[in-house]
Amino acid sequence: MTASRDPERLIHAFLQEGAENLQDRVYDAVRAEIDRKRQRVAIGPWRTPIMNRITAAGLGVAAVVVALVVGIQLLGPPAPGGTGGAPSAEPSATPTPSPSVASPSPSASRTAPPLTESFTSTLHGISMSYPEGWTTQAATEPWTGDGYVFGQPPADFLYDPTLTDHLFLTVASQPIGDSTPDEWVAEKRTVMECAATEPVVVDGASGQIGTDECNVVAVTIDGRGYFIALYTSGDEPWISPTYDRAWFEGVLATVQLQPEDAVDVTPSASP
Amino acid sequence: MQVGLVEQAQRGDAEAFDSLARLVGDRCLAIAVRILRDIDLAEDAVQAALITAWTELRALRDPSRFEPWLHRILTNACYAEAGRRKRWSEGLRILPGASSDMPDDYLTVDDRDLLERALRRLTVQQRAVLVFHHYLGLSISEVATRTGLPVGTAKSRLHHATRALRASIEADSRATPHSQERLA
Repeated sequence: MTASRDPERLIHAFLQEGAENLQDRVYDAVRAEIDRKRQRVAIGPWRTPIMNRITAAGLGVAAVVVALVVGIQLLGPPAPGGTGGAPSAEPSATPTPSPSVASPSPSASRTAPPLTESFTSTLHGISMSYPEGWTTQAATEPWTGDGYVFGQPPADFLYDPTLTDHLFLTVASQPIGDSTPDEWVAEKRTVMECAATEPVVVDGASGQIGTDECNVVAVTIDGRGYFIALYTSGDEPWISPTYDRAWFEGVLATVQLQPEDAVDVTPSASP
Repeated sequence: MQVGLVEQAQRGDAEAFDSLARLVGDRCLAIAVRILRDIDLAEDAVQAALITAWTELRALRDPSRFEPWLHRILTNACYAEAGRRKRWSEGLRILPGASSDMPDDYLTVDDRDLLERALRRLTVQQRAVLVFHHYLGLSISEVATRTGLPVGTAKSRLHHATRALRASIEADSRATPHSQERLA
């Protein structure tokens, strides 16, 4: 190559040569595969923090306004002959109780408190919202990837103080090390203890979530694996219907993963 | 049109995604062929990238950025293919652009041989930045977006790739005086 032939111009010209046509068999193979594959469920904000926070704040205000409006309508002064809410256009002269409007059972009347509180993990590089009235216990040791036991030091616990280990959220994280993201998530399937899982994206991190009300997530991002779980005890029949998958997804939607803020402390030596 | 198809596909419409794939497939193949220097590997990379795009599509926030987003997936698929199959010289199919009957009055057959050899000596990551910069004509910041690199890293990788390419071509030219004469 001589000085008169600029390699940049040559490579530019070389790369411009030719045209490619993707064969139909490739499109057909893609089509066959996507007909079998489900799309990942995307939960939570994408990783554009400023927009996320503004959007989240807006959505939060909107949710409060909607809740207030609905609450006022439901709990407002009862209409004559009615049980509350908007007055009926044609009130019945002789209201008769019907089975369909019988008093709700205690379980049906329960509602989860709003997610007004904010938790930031000191070790695990994650922040999220949690319900009003709940309390937290921060992790003090690194997570080694094992299963969680309520109150143990490697995980953060967010829980209802009146229910303690009957109802809690737990989060933990660890570097995925030499594992690929898929390998790490696959390893965590045993910890998740779900009969089946499906793809999920939480705050831009991809991984798996349990199906059939198994509210456990394992996701990875930027070389860090996150484990997030909602535990509901079967001892109190009202808990699971109240803190269900929809509620868990509401919590996941507030999650912000900050792997750069995680601290992988070394456990202190025994005395 | 593309944005509409992306939005439909994000709602799980496989037909829309199929149409979308056919809109962008040729360009994806062109990029992958240039990065991988092997049309079979390139087809595999495009197929893998399109399938990944389908499963991850709901995580795409801005449908108008579908193609840059897909190119980043494609780049990773190319890296995976390159790592999976080390068969740069064996079983090579001649790339369409390398055929001597292509109308081109600027590059000779010897030029192409030199450039092909020089490109193959680069890493797949170096080829990726060259392709996005020289083939698609993208700015450094767009190259960075599509290769998942910080802008500074993309810039230095492009610089090193170009320098390595130049050194490789010069070395080959010295070894084959005949080619040097032609190029001169």
